[in-house]
Amino acid sequence: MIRIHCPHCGLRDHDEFSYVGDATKVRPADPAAASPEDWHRYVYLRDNPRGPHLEYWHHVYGCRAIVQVLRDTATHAVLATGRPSDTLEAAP
Amino acid sequence: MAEPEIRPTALPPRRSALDSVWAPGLHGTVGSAGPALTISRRPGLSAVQLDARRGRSAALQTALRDTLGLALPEPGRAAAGGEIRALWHGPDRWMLIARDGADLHDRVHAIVQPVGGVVVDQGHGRAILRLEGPRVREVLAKGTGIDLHPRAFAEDAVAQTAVFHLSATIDRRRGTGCFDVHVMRGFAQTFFESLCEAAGEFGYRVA
Repeated sequence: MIRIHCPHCGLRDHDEFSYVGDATKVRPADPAAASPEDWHRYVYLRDNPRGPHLEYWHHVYGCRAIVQVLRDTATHAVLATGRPSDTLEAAP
Repeated sequence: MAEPEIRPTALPPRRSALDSVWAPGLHGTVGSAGPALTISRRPGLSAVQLDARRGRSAALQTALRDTLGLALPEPGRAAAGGEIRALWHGPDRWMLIARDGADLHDRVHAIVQPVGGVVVDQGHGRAILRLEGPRVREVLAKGTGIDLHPRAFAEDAVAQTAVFHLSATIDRRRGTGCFDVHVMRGFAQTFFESLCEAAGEFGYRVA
């Protein structure tokens, strides 16, 4: 069972959220200048790391906000959460 | 660009989504102490969703406080001001509830539109049930992960969450010991039937 601390609503069950995707991908800064390979990397290519992974989750049953979650893919431990604009670091 | 003025079109009179399944009376295993839960509908209410545009939240809150005496609540809380009850629904988003006839939409629209607020009429979109009785927390706890103990969920606490796998808003009313649960109208029958199933073992009354 994963419980996610929503930065707006507090600690909630992950049932209330829907997984959005990898939060480390950055959209090409100049879309017109980006090559098809750049777009391919941005849209399709994903790592499958074992360990801490930065993700977006949508609090779809709660405040309807997108939240950022740093989750350990091996243990499901939620290491940190925040708003999309936050820079997340795992608690020491 | 000037903001387009959007007026709500005339809608037909509201009808309860639960008319076809509503069976007043006692149901389930009613003990000698009587039903442990009473379920009633809350008809005749208007509802609007209020959103602040980016960066306009503080101005919007000031405007509502100065005109209606309504202090919009903090996250996870409800607040009453005059004849309006405001429920926190998300970042810079609230649901406002008032009796029909209070001219809720137009009044709030006139106040918040100049300061960067947006209201959307939800009166036809929600069903509100009132739950009260000694076992109300046990019944709700069968359907939601929210901790409803008074220590964790005080009076005027509000949670947007899943109840019986449906998106719902739980509003613990001040001073009455009852909970109002808001669900989307299209899910009202499913919600009501799940609620009755959960309450059966305690005995419940449909008002």
